[in-house]
Amino acid sequence: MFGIRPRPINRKWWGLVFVLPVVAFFALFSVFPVMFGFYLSLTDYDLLSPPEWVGLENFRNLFTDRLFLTALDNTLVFVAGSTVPVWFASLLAALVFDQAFRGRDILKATFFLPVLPPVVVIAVVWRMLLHPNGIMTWLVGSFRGISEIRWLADTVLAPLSMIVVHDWAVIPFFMMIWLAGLAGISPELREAAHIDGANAVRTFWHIELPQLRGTAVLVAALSTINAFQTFTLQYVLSPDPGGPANSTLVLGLLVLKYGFQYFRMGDAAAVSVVMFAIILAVTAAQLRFNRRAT
Amino acid sequence: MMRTVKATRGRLLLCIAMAVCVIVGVNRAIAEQVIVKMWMHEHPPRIAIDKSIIAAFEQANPDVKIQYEVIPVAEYGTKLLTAFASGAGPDLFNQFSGLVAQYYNARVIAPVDFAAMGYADEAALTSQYLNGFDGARFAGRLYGIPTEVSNWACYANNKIWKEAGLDPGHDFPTTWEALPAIAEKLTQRDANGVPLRRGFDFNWSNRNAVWMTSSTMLHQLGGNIVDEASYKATLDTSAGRRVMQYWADWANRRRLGGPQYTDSRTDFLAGRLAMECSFGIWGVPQMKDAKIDYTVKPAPRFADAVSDNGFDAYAFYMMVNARSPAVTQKAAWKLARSYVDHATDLFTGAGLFVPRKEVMDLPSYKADPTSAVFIEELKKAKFSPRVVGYDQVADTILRGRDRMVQGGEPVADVLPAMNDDMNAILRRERARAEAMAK
Amino acid sequence: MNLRRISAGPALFLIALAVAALFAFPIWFMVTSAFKAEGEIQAIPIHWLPHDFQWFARFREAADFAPLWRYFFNSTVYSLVHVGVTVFFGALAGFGFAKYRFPGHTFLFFFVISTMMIPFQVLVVPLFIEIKAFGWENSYAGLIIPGMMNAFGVFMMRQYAAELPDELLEAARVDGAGEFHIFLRIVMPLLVPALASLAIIVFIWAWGAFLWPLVIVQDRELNVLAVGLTNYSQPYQRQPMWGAAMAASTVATIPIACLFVFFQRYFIKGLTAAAVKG
Repeated sequence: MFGIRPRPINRKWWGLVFVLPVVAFFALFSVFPVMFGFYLSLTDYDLLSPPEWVGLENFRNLFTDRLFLTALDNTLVFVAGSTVPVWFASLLAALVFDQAFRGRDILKATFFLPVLPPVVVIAVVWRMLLHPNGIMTWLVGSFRGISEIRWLADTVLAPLSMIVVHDWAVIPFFMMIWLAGLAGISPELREAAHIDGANAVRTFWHIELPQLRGTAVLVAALSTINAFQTFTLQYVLSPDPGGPANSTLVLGLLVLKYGFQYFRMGDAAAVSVVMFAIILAVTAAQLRFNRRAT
Repeated sequence: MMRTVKATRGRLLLCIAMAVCVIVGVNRAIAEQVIVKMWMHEHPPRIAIDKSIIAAFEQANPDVKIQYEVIPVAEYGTKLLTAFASGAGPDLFNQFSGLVAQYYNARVIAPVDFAAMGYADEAALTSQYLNGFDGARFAGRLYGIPTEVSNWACYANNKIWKEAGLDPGHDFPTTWEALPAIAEKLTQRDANGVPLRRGFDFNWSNRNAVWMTSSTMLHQLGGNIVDEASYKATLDTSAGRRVMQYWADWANRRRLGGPQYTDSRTDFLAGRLAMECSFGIWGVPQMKDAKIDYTVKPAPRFADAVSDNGFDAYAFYMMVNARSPAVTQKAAWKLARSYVDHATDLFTGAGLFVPRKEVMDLPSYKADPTSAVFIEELKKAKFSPRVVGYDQVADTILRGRDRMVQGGEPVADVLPAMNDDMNAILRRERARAEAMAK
Repeated sequence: MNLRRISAGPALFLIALAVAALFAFPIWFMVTSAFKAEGEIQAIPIHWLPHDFQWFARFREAADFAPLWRYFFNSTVYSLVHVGVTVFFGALAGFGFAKYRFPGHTFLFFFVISTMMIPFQVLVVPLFIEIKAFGWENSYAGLIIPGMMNAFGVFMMRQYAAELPDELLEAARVDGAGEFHIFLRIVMPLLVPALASLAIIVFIWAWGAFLWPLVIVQDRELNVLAVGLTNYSQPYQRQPMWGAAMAASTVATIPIACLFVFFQRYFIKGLTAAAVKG
């Protein structure tokens, strides 16, 4: 025997060895590209010739770029249209499915179906349903004798359709988050309220809602960030990505348009940097809210 | 014994010498063998003909090897750009005339090398054709050879016309002003006035179709989408306003159709449209497949048109990569010559027309009555303006049109902004192209 | 469990039924349309069930028009690689961050976690240029490798690994086990439930990946199902083929539906964990 093996001193380096693969991976495929993206946003690059430094000109141009302003506007409308209704609707759904009644589990699973297919599938199915002379027109319009509703070709209906489809697809998911939050409320609290004679509504308002603040903020933040980055829905649901008069052109689509249709890589990078900044701001706001809640 | 050894050694040396000679010779042959990378867009009937042309060429030129690749249309533009960007662009490729300007501005295409093609000069080539070269001519020099020249005319579905009591031969409208009335007679509507079958509708969704149709109508009025000399958009003019108003009225006031219909060509082939004007002569086989009994008529003109032109012409040009080695470029031009010499095969086998004497002398071509209509229109046709940033400018027109047609905004309000946007794009793209061509 | 009065039961049932039906109807329509004749799909009034049951005609149509099974294969490979790599290296790194105090471990952890905040739109253009520089564009490598690790996996596994009792690990060390051996033989088996949830959520994300395959792949044969689906809804110069689109959509939904049916517990746990990490 050569004495005690110096294990405790060497052991910690194993940790480094274990984490190295992921660190290297993210350095190469996440962090470096982000840095490169920041650099690109300061250049003019069309793929055919080397990037040309232009400083902050791309960002300055965005202020007067009609396409960008339209995309920003559309994205904000989409985010508002999805976050607010989704927050309320998913909470309501959670409250309903939190009750015990016969058939609840089956109905909950049925309600949950929209979460299963990938976004592409949802977009393809709804594109068929929203044909101007198709199923949804018949369901909605047949009472008033309307035979054609241009869900996706009208400059007002198109963005509305996007919002409705998106909401339909995510409400069950957020219901699940609310349910998890509700499940975290200790039964004793409710029992105490019940013993004190509180009815369902008062119990909810005074006991459960305060406990759900963390979940509430989470749902709001998650649905905002998710809606902000929306891309696939607008790309696949619309017969012409961007929609009539660019009414469904969102920031995610604009990055693709600038980068891979017009080959204005610098502008594409600049738009994505703006998106990143906004998302960071929302996340920061969420963290602050959480800190105050706890 | 000694002699045998010497003899053996001698023979061995001879063998080695011969082997060395063969190896060096083969290496030299391989080294001298030129490889030409050829990219064409996907057009299924033409692919077999391409391959036979290439096989014949390789046989006649054993020192040249062709790497042939077919790329789907939707990806073709992107793939070309990314390939050029990484220095791996094809040596010989064809592309739609609307997109040629960007290659010219980036200096990736080479002027036509007539000597390498085997022509004494430019006239020796162009004299074989009626026209079709204008789309690839920049600053007086030619940069591409047409492998297909096309213009559109109007196809009428005889059966539907007869059912409505009309005869395409006599009743076909010769002016845009007369078109709505005829289209209305051919339109069938439901109780709400929504068309179940349309008489005529424009091709609203294909970006190239919108570009060329608006260019055609503007040319007739003496205007243009973009003035190539000054590189400025000229849509905010009385001519531009008139064309846009016509479209807005078509969809909103007369309700004869509109951009909610996304595929006029398929609709015509399926009998949902009585008249369609975005097919070229290459539409004839498709009509036959769809069993449509048709009549071809020239495009309508404006009653007070200053120019008697039909639909703009467009072409597919075969071009050579300016960044390829000189020897490869020469081989590529030689292949291009062989390719265009097979013009009659390309027409009979794939319906691809070039206005070349041998093609126009073909009995099958002469016998077909539609040929006469197309060639007459082609003689009067102009090319649409060639611009850098074509995709962006065309998209701007499409979106502006959406606002006027689908959004119902007044033409006078939308056009100035649209024109400004187009000018901004043209300015920027031209500056970029010039900066990067250095 | 709730102690509310259940006399509202039948009313609740009806509300829940209406809501569930409303939300489930498009999915029902998708699946039934995959078995209808083309003309019947858009028929008005709605045919809730196929009047002329077609068996697999629409599926065959879909497979004839585009390489449907190739797309399915590509998506499977893509998703399984992502799951395997994320789960294994996520657990490995999570364990490393949780149980080893090496210099820089805090910094490196935040380095990795911060990548979760990066929206993909920021990455798509520079990543494309980078992958092209590697010569990987339009290849399996370029398609699969750039996203195959997921920082969320590291985050989640670190949380679970941190809860493992140190005594267990010490005991193994005393017995002479190497560190990697400890990870493989002791830590991984203990993490299985968490790994299952992670695997499911990563599979769902990978299966639905759209933007990256759209951008990096040009050959049809390499494409994933998500992008391939658009062949049916937006075919080049043709009317959409709804029957084939519904058939292909159903095919695209089946794997996730199976995961949901057989592993519902892990499914829910995984989704919730991914959300709550925020």
